[in-house]
Amino acid sequence: MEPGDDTNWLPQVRRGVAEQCVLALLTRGEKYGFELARELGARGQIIASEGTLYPLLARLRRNGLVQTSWRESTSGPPRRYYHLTSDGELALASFKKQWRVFRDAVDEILSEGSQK
Amino acid sequence: VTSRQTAGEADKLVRRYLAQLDAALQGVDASRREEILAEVREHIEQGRDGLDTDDAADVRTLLARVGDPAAIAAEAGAPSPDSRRWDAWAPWLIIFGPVASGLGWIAGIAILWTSPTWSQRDKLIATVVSPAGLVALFFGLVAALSAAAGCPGHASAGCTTRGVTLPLGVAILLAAAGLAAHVLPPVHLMRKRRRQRFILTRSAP
Repeated sequence: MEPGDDTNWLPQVRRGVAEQCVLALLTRGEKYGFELARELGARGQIIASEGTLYPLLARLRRNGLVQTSWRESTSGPPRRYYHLTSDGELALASFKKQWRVFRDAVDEILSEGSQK
Repeated sequence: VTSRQTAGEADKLVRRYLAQLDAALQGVDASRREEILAEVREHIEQGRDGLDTDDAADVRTLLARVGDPAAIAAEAGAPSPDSRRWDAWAPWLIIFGPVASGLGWIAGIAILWTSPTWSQRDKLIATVVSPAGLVALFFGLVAALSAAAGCPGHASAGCTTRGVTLPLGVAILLAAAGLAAHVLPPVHLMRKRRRQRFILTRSAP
């Protein structure tokens, strides 16, 4: 790791958090991959690039947190829609709780550091 | 005509991108690899449907948003490029290792089996067929030499042939087939590797 290279932590944090963001986006109803990729990509930083969403979705599906179904779309060919499973809902609920504690702890430490 | 030409170029960009992604995903198990490829292909198609003008420049921008194939492969848990570091040695060690020293061959086989570059089938063939070929080459040469030395079907004084002896033509044929079986699988490994590197090192859009 290069000294002063401040982006090394990002892929590691992203790896865990991006999955949870996908679960959160699916709480408002099923979505197809392209939609999810555009929503996440538009916010920046959550995924490295739109394409990296697909291995992530494959992982979520293998772990039983999301399921897919083929559905006709209003335009064009049928699409693969993703929706949350009950395991996915549970995982997200527990993440939300832990994330707040984690985030507050980091913020607190960072603000202590900047006061010195 | 111009729009058709640029559409052709756009198609080519997409095909090249998907080939790069496919190569980068070497080492990820086949069903996941297929799934990821299919989804990225769908994604690109949907992206293109949404473009005002489906020309090469727009498709390039679209592919840039989809991102570096290496990043997608890394997210999919593909082995890092480091695991291909010794690839170039494997075919040479498999060809010359057994002759120079058995250790060289073992090193070649170790590199072969730990690299994601080749399929299970390629690995198995290079491991089994290549040494079998060498054995055939050896026996073929010995039989040819003894046949050429004028040893008859049964060993006589001065001829130290043991076991079955072969007519010269058959012995030469056996040696040639053995040489081919010994060398061709490693040559196939080299060609596979070169093809993959060619796809991977062409600049991503």
